Amino acid sequence: MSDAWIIVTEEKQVAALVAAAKGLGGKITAIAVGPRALADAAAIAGPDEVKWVDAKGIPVEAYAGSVARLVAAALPKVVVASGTVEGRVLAGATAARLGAAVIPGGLKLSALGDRTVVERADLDGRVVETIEAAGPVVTFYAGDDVASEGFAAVPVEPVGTDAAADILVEKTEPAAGAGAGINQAAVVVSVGRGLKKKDDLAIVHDLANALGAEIGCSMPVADDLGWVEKERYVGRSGQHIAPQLYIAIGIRGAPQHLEGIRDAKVVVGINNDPDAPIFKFADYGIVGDLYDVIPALQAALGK
Amino acid sequence: MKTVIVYKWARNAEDAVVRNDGTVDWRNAKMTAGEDDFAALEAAKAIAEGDELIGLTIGDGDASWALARGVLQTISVTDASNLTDNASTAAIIVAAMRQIGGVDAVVIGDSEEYAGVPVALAGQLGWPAIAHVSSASAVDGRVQVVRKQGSSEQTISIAAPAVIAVSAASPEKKTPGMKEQLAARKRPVTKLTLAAIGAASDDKVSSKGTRLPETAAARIFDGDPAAAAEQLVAALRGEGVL
Amino acid sequence: MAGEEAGEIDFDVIVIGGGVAGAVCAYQLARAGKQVVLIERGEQPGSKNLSGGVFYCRVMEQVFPNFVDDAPIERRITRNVLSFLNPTSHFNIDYWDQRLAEPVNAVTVLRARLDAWLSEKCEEAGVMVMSGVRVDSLLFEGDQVVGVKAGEDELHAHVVVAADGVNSFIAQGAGIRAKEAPQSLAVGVKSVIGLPRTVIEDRFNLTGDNGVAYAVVGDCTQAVAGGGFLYTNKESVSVGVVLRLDDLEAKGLTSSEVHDHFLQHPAIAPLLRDGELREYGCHLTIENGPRMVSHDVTRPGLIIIGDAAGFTLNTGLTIRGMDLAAGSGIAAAKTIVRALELGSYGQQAMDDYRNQLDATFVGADMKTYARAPEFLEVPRMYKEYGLLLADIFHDIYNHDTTPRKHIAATAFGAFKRSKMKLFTTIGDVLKGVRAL
Ligand SMILES: Cc1cc2nc3c(=O)[nH]c(=O)nc-3n(C[C@H](O)[C@H](O)[C@H](O)COP(=O)(O)OP(=O)(O)OC[C@H]3O[C@@H](n4cnc5c(N)ncnc54)[C@H](O)[C@@H]3O)c2cc1C
Ligand SMILES: Cc1cc2nc3c(=O)[nH]c(=O)nc-3n(C[C@H](O)[C@H](O)[C@H](O)COP(=O)(O)OP(=O)(O)OC[C@H]3O[C@@H](n4cnc5c(N)ncnc54)[C@H](O)[C@@H]3O)c2cc1C
Ligand SMILES: Nc1ncnc2c1ncn2[C@@H]1O[C@H](COP(=O)(O)O)[C@@H](O)[C@H]1O
Repeated sequence: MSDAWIIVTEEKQVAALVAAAKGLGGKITAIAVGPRALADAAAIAGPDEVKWVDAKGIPVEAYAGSVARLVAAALPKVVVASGTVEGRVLAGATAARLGAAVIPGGLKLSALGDRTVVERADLDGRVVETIEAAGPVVTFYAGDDVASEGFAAVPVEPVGTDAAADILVEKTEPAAGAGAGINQAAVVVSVGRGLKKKDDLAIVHDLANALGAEIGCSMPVADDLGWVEKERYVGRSGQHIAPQLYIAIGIRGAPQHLEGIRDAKVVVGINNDPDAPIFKFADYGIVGDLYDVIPALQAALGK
Repeated sequence: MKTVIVYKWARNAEDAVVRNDGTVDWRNAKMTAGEDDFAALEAAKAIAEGDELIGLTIGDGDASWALARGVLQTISVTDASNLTDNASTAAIIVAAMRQIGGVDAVVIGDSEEYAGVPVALAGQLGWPAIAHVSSASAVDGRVQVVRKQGSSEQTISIAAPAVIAVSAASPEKKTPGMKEQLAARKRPVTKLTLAAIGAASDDKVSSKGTRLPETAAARIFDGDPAAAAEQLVAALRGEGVL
Repeated sequence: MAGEEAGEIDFDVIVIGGGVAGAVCAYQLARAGKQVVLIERGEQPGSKNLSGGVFYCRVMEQVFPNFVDDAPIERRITRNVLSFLNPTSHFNIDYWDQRLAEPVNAVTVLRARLDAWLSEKCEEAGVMVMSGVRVDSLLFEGDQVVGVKAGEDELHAHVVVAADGVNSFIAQGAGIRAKEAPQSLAVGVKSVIGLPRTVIEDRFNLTGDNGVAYAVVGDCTQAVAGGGFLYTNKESVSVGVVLRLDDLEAKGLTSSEVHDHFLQHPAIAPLLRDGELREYGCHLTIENGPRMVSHDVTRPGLIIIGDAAGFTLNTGLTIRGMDLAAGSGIAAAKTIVRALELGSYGQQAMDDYRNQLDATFVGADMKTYARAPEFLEVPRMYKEYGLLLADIFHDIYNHDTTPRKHIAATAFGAFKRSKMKLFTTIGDVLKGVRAL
């Protein structure tokens, strides 16, 4: 049994962070850095207590020193943060203060005597590695989101901070393609380098029309080939989307691409290579030539 | 600004083969720089603005990687090994940076695999950090960075000294040509040992092995395309997504 | 450095292509104290290379005295299986000999690892390895080759070595080679299938680092001229087909179809069962090396080695390219060291390369096997003989309650049914004996 702190910088994964920390069997303290609403969301996610740092509209990273001091004073054995850009910075500062090991990719935590066991995703999620630590550990959570079980709210305690670091947001603009239809679409039909020539996009458009879907693509189709607008490519450096249905046609399933569809509900892969990594990620797949499969899908949809 | 570009030189994870029993075969994995590192180097050049720019790598990093991309001097900590604990890796970088001294900005690739290194580094230096940066420059003695956050793009200004972790948006488009590689040969490489910088190379954690994740495999329909398509459509209707 | 255009020289020698040929040549030159650059277009040497993978590696002992112990080899081949494959039967000649292990005669290799190791050795010896650079063309002064051009950049040297593989755009660009005729070329398609070490050892009856090489003819290629191969590595099996381009086209098949058919053949599939695909690739190789090598292999200031020159022997049972690549690299290095000492790099100095080749197994073997391609053009090789052998043995083992005959009579019966003419067969046998 060990006590844990969780560092909360966005509402999205709060419940999952708490659930992961529960594996340790000890007391869980959440420290929320951001607006009051964030602290309130943490309060009903199941921790034993919540501390709140009011970020007052400046970048959360500016409070790294304060958060580190607060958390380290409690000498927790484990600190869990989400793997977001801000969460990581706060956790890194905390780890330095605690003299803790830092392990990205955390999925599952448990205590083994006085040691901590972290199961973490490695090699782009292709394996799970089991790591044991004798001393304190800081990990970034990389598992699935879980639905909050609706716990009773615990009190939120505002905490004072040291002077914030000198970080200012000078400008915020919508990112390229933020308004593109693909971001709101319920169904996205996405095409990769499996397509042989630009003219063949016609059959992809036909399928998208039949499904009422928006067109997406992998990066090379937009970037190197220029067959589809740049605003429509999906992935790490393109759009991050959360459609109900994502159909990846002739897309290998490179980790950078998959990053963009982590929040999609149902993923379908269509690829003529049965070993394509997309089939490890997708919920459904058809192994076959897209030039055979697309017309067949059209026909099946008409039935 | 006096800037350090930290680049990693490690076995390419994409080449690692995962066996059926979940163990990993690294034998065919080639050593490469991190996929974000070239973008980090571009940002570092912009921040240095012609001031001193020093390449730093730990382990058996190839100095010519940085030198051929326009860095004039590099340091490598030759006897450091590849560690699981990202904080231990960061500690070695910190020790090397103390040797360099007077650094205003350290720029490093923000790799998914070693997502803890830049932030642990900032923590140990006690410097502010910004991660997932796409480009950077120096403006009036401060570092200005651009990063994508959700559906918006932020321009952030941060006082030096600072740690800037950069993510590449695409593969490197142009690799160094013959003249650049030749020039790299003539530039100085300083080799340091852990003992010389007063650092240790020990993991605070131990790996107990790897296994396959227990994700449910995709339901695959193969064989006749018409039949497969019909089965898929039926399944998707069952899921309520059509 | 004694150069005609001293001052402009960046290196004594520029070697284009980091395959076996280029690496061995560059290494030998650096060991002789010469300034050498090895230019490879891949991100790393070996990253783009593909071989079936049996390396007749005795020649490497001349370069690296402990080659077999030091290099990343996979297995030592002590068992050779020649397999005649028919749709529902196979006839195997299985030759196992522990003597093949000591001294080591042939080993399996994976090129990504071997080439990376060779390039490391080159760097240790002082070669500058430039990766990620594609040489576009040669630089000439009159008819003398004086360097190379890549993108905007130019490098100058006394001698340039073209080791850029089977397509050798360098040799083509220099007007030495025309685009090769399809009947001189074959396409190889290969998969590497991962299997646990213990499974490989049990399945192929192997112990320790010993390995087996299968050469397969017949139904594996769906009657396209060519053959199949299967070689064991430590934790994987390299398996694939090599198909003559012109015949493939004539039969209207694609190389990947033939490859897939081979891997799914009932005689092959069980050997690969439960394996995982690790690599898949396609590469040209040389069908008729002796014909290709009949063109020039030098120009003033230029020497062509390895596949770029045509040094590959396809005997039907084995493809030998890597050992000849190494041998030609050694011969070229000797010529160049001499030329550098004399300070003369004209045609006459380069011509010494032919003598150096003739003094080694490379020159001799290219002559010995000059007729092999002709023998391999015999279409019966790819179908009828396998069926005939299977029929003979079917008659021997198929105890269908008819009275038994002597083997000779059985064979003759099967032969008569096969509709092959006795004289054609004798002709083929003689051709084979003379060619191989
Ligand atoms: C820093 C960085 C950032 C990146 N960011 C992104 C990003 O945001 N988004 C992104 O997409 N990529 C990104 N990439 C690129 C990524 O690594 C891959 O290279 C890219 O996603 C591959 O695109 P693809 O799958 O379309 O092409 P390929 O990898 O070429 O795959 C094509 C697939 O089509 C299949 N296929 C071929 N023919 C057929 C057929 N007839 N029928 C069916 N299937 C067929 C093949 O089997 C193969 O699986 C990034 C890379 C880097 C280094
Ligand atoms: C399917 C198959 C099976 C085979 N099986 C065997 C076997 O079992 N045993 C055997 O001994 N041989 C085998 N071979 C033949 C063997 O692979 C070749 O003979 C051998 O690789 C030749 O070596 P090389 O160094 O001449 O050329 P390569 O290995 O082809 O190397 C040429 C190098 O030059 C580089 N290059 C090309 N152009 C440029 C340029 N413009 N600028 C810079 N770099 C360039 C390439 O990237 C490459 O690294 C097989 C071949 C195939 C295709
Ligand atoms: N380590 C070995 N590697 C290859 N062949 C072997 C080995 N040991 C024995 N053999 C021979 O391989 C042949 C095939 O064996 P079997 O599969 O038992 O029919 C027999 O002649 C064995 O003697």
